[in-house]
Amino acid sequence: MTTAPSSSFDPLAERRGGGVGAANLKPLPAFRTSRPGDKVVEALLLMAAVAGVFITTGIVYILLTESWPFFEKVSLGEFLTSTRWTPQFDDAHYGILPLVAGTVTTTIIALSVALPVGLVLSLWLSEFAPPKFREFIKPVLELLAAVPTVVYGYFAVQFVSPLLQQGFRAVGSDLSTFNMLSAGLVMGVMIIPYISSLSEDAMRSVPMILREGSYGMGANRVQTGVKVVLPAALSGIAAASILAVSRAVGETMIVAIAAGQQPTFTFNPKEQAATITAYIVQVTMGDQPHGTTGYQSIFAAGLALFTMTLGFNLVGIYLRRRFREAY
Amino acid sequence: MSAIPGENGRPWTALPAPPLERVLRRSQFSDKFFTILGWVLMSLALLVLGLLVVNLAKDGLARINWQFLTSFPSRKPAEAGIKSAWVGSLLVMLVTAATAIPVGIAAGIYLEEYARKNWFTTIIEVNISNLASVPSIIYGLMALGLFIYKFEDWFGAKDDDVTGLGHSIITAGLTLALLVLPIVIVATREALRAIPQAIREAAYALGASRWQVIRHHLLPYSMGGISTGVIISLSRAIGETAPLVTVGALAYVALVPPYPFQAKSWNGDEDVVLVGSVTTPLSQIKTQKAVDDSPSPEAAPALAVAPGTLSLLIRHEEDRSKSRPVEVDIPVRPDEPLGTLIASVENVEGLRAEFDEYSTFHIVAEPGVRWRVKKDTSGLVAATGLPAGGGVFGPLEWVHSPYTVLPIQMFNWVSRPDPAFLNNAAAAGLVLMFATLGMNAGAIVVRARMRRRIKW
Repeated sequence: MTTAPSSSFDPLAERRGGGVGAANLKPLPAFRTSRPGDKVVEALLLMAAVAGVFITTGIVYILLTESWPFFEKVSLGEFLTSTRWTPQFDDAHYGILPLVAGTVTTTIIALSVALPVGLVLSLWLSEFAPPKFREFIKPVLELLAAVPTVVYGYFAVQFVSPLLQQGFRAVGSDLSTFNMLSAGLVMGVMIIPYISSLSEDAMRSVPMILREGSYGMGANRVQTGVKVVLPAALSGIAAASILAVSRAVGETMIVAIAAGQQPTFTFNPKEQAATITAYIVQVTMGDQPHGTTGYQSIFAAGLALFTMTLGFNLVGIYLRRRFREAY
Repeated sequence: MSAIPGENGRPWTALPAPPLERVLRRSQFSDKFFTILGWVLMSLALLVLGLLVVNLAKDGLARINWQFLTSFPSRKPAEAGIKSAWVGSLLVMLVTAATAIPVGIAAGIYLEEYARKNWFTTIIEVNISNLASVPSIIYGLMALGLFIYKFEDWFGAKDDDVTGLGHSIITAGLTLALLVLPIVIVATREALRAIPQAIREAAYALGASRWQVIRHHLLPYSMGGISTGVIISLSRAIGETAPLVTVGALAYVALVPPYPFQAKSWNGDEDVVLVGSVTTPLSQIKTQKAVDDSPSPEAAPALAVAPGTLSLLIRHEEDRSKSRPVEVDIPVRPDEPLGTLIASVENVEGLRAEFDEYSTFHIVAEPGVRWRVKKDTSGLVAATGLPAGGGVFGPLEWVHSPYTVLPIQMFNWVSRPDPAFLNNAAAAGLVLMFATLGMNAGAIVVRARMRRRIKW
């Protein structure tokens, strides 16, 4: 069997290529033992499979219908361009940009940790690490993604933030307790496995013959890894990175706990700022009554978030098509 | 030896090739460098994991004891515990497992073994892979809009308190089930895909129907892979916080849901009261109660906003030897129609209406009295007595109970200003880490054993 290494962690597994085609096999017509229950079973299984479609439909339907009244009060133009998000003031402004700025800043910090570390680790795991050790260490590294995010939030605000504060004080600068830097860094650690494990899967499914060719030309392992394996696995790596971006953008508890709750239009990682997700948490913690603008605004924010991740997904699909190498 | 004329008339000479040794050495150096870099980065990543656990243990290990595991939350940090949280987590997981596992496995089987390649199955597949990257809080918003509000609009009877699914265990369980469904589906498909085609061919050759092949061969062989996926998905679900915040997991719950056929004992040893808020926004009442814990030190009610109606459920577990009246503060605005409320409160035997010096309105109930206050559409409120209890809870009544879960409890404690609560948060975090890491370790073991046992 040449299936990719099985990893239940891998949410992208079914994107790596079509199935074996088990469905093409059929019972022998001459012996078809059409039992009365078989059709029923198939119908039941089909219903379960369709459930996935219902979830997506439900998400889109709810986001649209619940945020519709919001957009009747707040124009789309103000929502997308205003730099003030002040739902709790009498003079309420609903400009999503401050929340987007917080989301983008924390995401960039997280990616600047996770992308290099994840890529080096995946290359190292696939080309350098002893196979037995790799089998052992991969699930252990994946534990980083299994730690509950609320625990990461505690870690960010109780350990990383004070540590950074000390560092900043040592160089004569200052850092508030809640800041986007510590939240972003911790988030970066959290998404390392998404990049390292999924990219490693992609790299290992690069045919051995490419490596052998490279070695035959006198290249060493680094050269083979960077110049042969990495480009060949680019579509998988792109998919993994896109998934990591989606995770970072949608991550909630770490930023809600460690990055602060004040919507500020800033890209300065030393400051505190609310992200889209943190705002949703903040509102739902306070239990906004159904039908108020505050309640509707979380669905508008959710719609913005969903659109962002959907956009990344489409980019991911494009990248996979663009860089797909067929062997 | 005549030089070959080159550019500018100068003789052309070959550049001296670097000695082979140096090439090899440089090549070895970059390999070594990368090897070391890999080891360092991996150790750093694991170091962070270690630091995280050590940091939690340093802050919270001292708080983990029998009292912590068996106490309800409290406004006194030293007396607070996680009983309602771990019970809630367990019950929510039960609902999640009961729905996500069968549906996920069934969907996986269909997609892998039945689905032909056409536009319909393509849509389903693209859908499921997209769901994997939808942020979890979006699932929470969807559940809030759908299970709690739309369901109420669609199915809710106007006079009934139980409309929609409410802020209940079943809402939470279903929300998390939707969230982890793609994980179960993908794990099932991978496990099925790893089974060689020859197995299917052999079974078909013997005259088995498609379902027989699946039932008798494919499912048993793929059980290891599927259970790994299930464990991973549940460990993800147990640590999820964000979607449960949006569907209204409560920060403060001082009750455990009724177990099946538990006797309802309203009279005497347990007080159950239903309280209607007057016209105060529900948010304020909930927040106030959640933060201030309880109206009186003896009574520690758990508050849940029942959907749709303006009823609040207060069930409190009091020290059974005490039979003091239960007092409930209801903040009211001056312009609210209190007259009818007071009259109706006084009408119910065992209820008293009182005002304190802050003009907070109290409803004082004698132990054992069941009552409710409802608000009709015109804004009038009225209290009515309910028949004394008795009987038993239904076998599934716990799914409608208000709840909290471990991550929510921890989040609540992290956001408290009092640093003593941080130790509680760390302790709750340790318990949570123990659960998730334990489940993941279990999955690793299952996977390793499966690989050793089955060799195609």
